[in-house]
Amino acid sequence: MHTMNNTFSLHRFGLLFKKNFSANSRRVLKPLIIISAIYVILKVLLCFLGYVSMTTFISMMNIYIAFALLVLMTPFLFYSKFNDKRYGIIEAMLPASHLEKFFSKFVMLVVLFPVLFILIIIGLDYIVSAFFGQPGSISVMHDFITEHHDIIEQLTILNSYFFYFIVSLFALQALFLLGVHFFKSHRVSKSIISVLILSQLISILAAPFTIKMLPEIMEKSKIVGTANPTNLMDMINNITPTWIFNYQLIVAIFEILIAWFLIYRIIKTHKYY
Amino acid sequence: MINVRNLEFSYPKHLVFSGINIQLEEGKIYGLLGENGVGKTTLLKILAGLLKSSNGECTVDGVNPFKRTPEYLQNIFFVPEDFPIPSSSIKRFVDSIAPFYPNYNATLLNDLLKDFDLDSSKEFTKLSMGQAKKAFISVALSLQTKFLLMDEPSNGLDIPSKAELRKVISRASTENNTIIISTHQVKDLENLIDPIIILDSEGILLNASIEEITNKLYFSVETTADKDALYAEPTLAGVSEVKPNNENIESKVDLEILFDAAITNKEKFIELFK
Repeated sequence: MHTMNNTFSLHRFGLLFKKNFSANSRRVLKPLIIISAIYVILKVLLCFLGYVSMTTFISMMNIYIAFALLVLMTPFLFYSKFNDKRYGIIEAMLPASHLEKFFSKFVMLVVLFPVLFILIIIGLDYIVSAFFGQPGSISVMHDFITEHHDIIEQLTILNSYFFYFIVSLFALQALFLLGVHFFKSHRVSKSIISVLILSQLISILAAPFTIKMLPEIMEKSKIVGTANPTNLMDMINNITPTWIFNYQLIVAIFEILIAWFLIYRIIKTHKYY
Repeated sequence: MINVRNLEFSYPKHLVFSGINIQLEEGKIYGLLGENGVGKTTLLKILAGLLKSSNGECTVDGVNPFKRTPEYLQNIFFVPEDFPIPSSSIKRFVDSIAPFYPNYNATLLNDLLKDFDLDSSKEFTKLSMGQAKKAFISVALSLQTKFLLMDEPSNGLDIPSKAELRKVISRASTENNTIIISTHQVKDLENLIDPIIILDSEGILLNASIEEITNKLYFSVETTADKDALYAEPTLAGVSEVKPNNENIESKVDLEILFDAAITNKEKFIELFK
């Protein structure tokens, strides 16, 4: 007799992934167009208003902000109806395993859509730079890499600030996703408020260490850099002890692991009253 | 086969039901009746794997529904009273879920939609509530799951649609599947549901086929109420009543009278249909 694999089947995962990708693409389309349009309009306006001296570092931050906004919106856009007693049952009763449902969410939120977002933003950046950029400029990303290849060469995965920003972003995303799975009403506001409270709690826990290090930080902060991106990086390096970044990085990684574990538990045991 | 033994369900401060014992067989369309709040929807949700019982045992083909395994879920579909309205066309909704159900029948869906005078390219959100319900029920029936649970399916449907609903449900019923319909609108589903289950917060008052019911009870309309009547209700035609069928006379079951008789004579009913 044929026994069905109730834990994980690649075929079923494929079906689920296809279904969710199609539904989520429609959900994200409008916010993606709006954020992309704001990004393009702001950039074109800045060029027209003569702020061409905007450094590539700041432009990179703009790209990061657009990307972060999209990444942080996805839990609310895709899964805010998970525990809705009316709409949630469609997903709960879909013949796929808990693990397949979990991985579908994970790949969708942490891999597929972020990659799509970054490709779209970089693509837009290339287009805008081609029409409105400074002579010789190909794109912000390209200019940044050219200008700061020395910094980039020094970066390894673990001491990279980009890695820290990305991990923090996905920690926030995981907490928001946990919020929409946990709260039964006002999911968006309750999730955001909970994350704010949690971050305050973590800051309070870290306070004794921060206070202890304060004189050292104050001393170092006297070395004030300019807007030059190289100096900005130096300044951050100088005034922030490495352990603060390491501490925050470890906290963010723990947040991601705990949040995704709890999300799996909720998928598996949620009751639809 | 659905097996329920000593099932109990309670919210943190409120017991919904306890002592539910019942066995449901394949190839039948069960009518699940009960007063408001006795837990009809809760029982359906437990069977669908959406809720976990507080105590007791509930197995469907030997499987605990709350585990929500893919194998179990592909054999069951639940149409809630307050059903979800997909934000897509009927066709797109079906295309997205049908691959998960091995017995899905596209021809049956087209026939059902035609019977209900619906077009599969229509967006769910552009249909009236009644039309959306008919579309959702058509999708549910076309998936041809072994177990189909429906909560108040006739609510919100117009009179011709109620007749159509009876027709499509009886057409979709086979000797291999089990359909459980929870309803207050017993008249809407008369001649369709058989056996009848009457649920009470302290157990099952009745779980019997129409044949068993008519063997044990006699339904009639009289000019005055009989002293032996279990329940009598004045109507325009006289007094509708039900009494023990001591003389073995055939009669047609009046589901409303049966239900009222059961809830006013709980112990007698349990004893009578033991």
